[in-house]
Amino acid sequence: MTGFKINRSSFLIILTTLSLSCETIEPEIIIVNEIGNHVLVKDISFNGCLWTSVLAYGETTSPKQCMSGPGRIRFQRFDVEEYCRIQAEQGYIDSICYCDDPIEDPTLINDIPLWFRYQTIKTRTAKLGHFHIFILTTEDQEQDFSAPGPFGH
Amino acid sequence: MNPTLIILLLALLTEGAFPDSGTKPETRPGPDAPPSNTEKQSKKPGSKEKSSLSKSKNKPVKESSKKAGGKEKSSTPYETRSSAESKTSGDGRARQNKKSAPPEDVESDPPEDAESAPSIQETVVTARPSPGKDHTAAVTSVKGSNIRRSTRTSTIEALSQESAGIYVPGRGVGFHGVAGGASGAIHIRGLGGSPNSQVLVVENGVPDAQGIFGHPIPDAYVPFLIDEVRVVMGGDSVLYGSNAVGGVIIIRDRWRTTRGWELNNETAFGSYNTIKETVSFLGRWKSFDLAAAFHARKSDGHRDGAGGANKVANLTVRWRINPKLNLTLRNKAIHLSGTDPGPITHPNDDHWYDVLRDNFYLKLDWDKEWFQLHVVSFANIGIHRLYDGFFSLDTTAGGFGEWKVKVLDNLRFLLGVGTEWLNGHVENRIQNEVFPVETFGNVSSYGQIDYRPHSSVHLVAGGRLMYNTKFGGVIMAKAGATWEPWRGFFLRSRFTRNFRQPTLRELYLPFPTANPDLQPEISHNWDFSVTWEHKKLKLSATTYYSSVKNLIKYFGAWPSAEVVNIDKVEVFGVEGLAQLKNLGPLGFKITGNWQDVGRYTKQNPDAKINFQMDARHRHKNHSFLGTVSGEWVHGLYMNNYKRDPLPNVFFIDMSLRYRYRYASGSSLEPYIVLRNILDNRYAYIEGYLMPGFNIMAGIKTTL
Amino acid sequence: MVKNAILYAMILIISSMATIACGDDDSTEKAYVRLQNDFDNPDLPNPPWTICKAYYNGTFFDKVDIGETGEEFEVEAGLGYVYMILAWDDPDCNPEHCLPVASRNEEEVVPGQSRTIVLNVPNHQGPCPPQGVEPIPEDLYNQILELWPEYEFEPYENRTQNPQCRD
Repeated sequence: MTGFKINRSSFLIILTTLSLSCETIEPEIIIVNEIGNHVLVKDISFNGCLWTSVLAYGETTSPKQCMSGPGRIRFQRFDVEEYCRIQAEQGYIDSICYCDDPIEDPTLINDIPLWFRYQTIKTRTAKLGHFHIFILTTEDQEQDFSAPGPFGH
Repeated sequence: MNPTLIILLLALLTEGAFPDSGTKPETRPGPDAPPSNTEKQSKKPGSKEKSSLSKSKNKPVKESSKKAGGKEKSSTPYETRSSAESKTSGDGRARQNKKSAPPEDVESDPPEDAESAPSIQETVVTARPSPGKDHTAAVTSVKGSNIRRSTRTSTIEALSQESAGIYVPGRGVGFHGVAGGASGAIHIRGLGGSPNSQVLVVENGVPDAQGIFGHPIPDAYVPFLIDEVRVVMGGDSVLYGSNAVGGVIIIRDRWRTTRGWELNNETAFGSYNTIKETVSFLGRWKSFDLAAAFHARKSDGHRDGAGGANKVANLTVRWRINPKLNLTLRNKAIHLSGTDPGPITHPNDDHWYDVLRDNFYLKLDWDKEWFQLHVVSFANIGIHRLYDGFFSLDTTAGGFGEWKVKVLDNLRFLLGVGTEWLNGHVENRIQNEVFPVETFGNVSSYGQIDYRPHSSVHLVAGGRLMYNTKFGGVIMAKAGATWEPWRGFFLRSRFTRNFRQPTLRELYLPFPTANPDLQPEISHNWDFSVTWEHKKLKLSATTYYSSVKNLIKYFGAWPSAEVVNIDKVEVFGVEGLAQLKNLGPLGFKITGNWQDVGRYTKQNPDAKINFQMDARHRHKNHSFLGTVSGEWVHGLYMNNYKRDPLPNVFFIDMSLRYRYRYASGSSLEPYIVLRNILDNRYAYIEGYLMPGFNIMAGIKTTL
Repeated sequence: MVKNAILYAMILIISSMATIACGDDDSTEKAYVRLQNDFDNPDLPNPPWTICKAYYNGTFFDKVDIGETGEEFEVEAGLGYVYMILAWDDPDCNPEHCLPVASRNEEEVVPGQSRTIVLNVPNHQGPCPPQGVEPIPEDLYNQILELWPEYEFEPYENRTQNPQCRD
């Protein structure tokens, strides 16, 4: 009977260990925004993981365990410089841009900055048991038309 | 991992004969009522088919054996073939039955501890007369113990594993949710799908079509108390009413059969922080029976946002007023919460749902020698909340009375009347918008004639007339026959005309649009089966054709969508079964289905194969069970007209169980389930990638 | 004898059932469609698009002005996009104001159905989308170029360089 109890305990320990090990081998991913120093990214996703935080240039997501296999990184992008340039062409937004021209159309100040959907051109592959650092760059991005807009021009 | 290696490993592990390795013939009574006298005798204690594990369950078996000498009756041509076969060694020939069930043992269900029945099922869409109300129906019958031991995570997925005619897209270790997408959608022979309103679930005789969206919620059916699930292919609106178009899933819970009590507990832990706890208690004292159970499961899911939790509590009390008269009261509450993670390419952020439901029924069963009367009243209430502000409160209430009478030894009538009413309140709490819903309901009467002109022939015909307050009268009908021209060779065929009434959503709710003038869908289903059974081999083939007219179909998209009755679905298919049994410790079963669903290919695959191998070994108080099972799905599309094809689904699961039985009759059963052992990357739904290799381990305790 | 009788009865039943089950057949694969120009929908933004030309499931449609519904045409039943030439703020449909546009939804009609397909802001996709409007996929764009080559639209790579996009 005692022997049986020992066996049962051992069995449960082994099973629990196996079960836990199953999760620890899922790949761990972090993503770095190196697109440009004026580009913010948010809602980054890869193989089922979603990071909702906003990353400035050089910033990194927290590590997450994602599904293994190949996939593209998708994200929403906001180009602060481009936004300011467009706003500056038509108005003066004191709090955002260092523009000297007078306000031509005050309603533009209320324009909501739009985050456009992008994805990497290259596919990344996450491998079981690996820790991956994936970097977003200017060269490796294109518009993502596979989801509802906004898409931009 | 090489699957061949796994099979060899299993074979080595289970070397040696195992007394109950053969498949056990179907002995279950109809799920919708206490078994008839005819059916009772088939579970006579001390049957030759009683498994060795059942024998070793001392307490109940001994007690039952003492009662085995009740009054006897000669058999009649009416006795079901299945019950007769329960006394044979599987060759399908037994002509003499003796009724011996004493009043105490009106129920057939074995105690939980006797779950030694082989995992591989006997009854899977064959031509043999099926148990239940309609003996000519094509039925897949799955024992509750098999569902509890399934490697699949939900009851309906376990059903999918048992028959190729049932297709259910899985959701990994997570939850199906409210089946707004395709996960948890139940297709039976090409009909059904998402929402599941063309498939009816009947739980303990009570239809479970749920309010606003008019379809069952897959996660609500946990197997803690299930004695048997029977899937009637081809529908049967004559007996079950609306929604029984593609098929009917009939769930019957178990009772304790002898005085005393039993407590079953199952605790399991697995990958992705999945925790499961199930406890059930069954008791029988004097004139009362009690079945109580609680189930809780929680999982983080295999990816962000795929987690959730469900809790199900059940309490059923039966008062045996006298040996022929029972009054049963049952309440079942469900709380389901989770999130839709979205496709892996574009995950959702916090798309949560929360569902609270309560089912209640009160049932009176009067079981005389020559007739049975069942009167049932039921209510089903639900509150659904979604992340986008959606809130609904729905109620379904109704009742029915059913009278079965034996006119002659070979002639029976079934007559019934029923009513059902639906109502609901729907609003969006964020937009502060209330959507008006009108109550509607129906009354109906139905009947069925069951005639056996010869011991080898069984004929069934029936009809239902329904009047609905919304769309008037509807007539349903059916006819079927089975024939055994030679020993072990069966032919069967059945035709049914079924219907589905529009749901409250389709009639009134702008998701994305509604049409209050919708009419019911009407289906015509026909099938024909040939079965040959031998001691060690069983082969069966079925061809079927279904046509659904007046299809309720959405066109366009918001804000200019429309929903109308137009078009029809036509499905033609074949399905087959090959089963090897009584091969020492081994058993093997494979089922396959091929179908042509026309342009309605969205999540409705062209072909599916399921297989399962069992190996058993028993030594004194120790017993082992190993299973390898898998599924292959071909011709999956994300849209109709064969648009957006998906790669084939293929995975193999494996389970290993060990059970130790104490002298007292209690037992411990640790187990491990290994899912997707080949670590395949597959998806039933585009973007919803299923988990790779994962593990669940647990222990079952029976006191 | 009895068995033979039963056998014949079974054959009769089965064949009857099969006849009943298979009795109905579609006698036509045609459907009837109208196009509605819903670019003045009060609940949506109102870009001033006139539907100058359209093609759907094998049939060419006539011009449909803003807020109007065109006449009914017979089409092949099935699934398909509505291909269109839309003119921006020009009821006369002068080519210099026209662009190749397709419906956002792949629209369906089943045999015998009469249906009005509604075209509006959420149900269109074009070559030079403003923010929020779906960009037209290449195969749909090229299909429109094939249907109406006389408009001489730019190739897909230069779709945003169509003169109308630069206005």
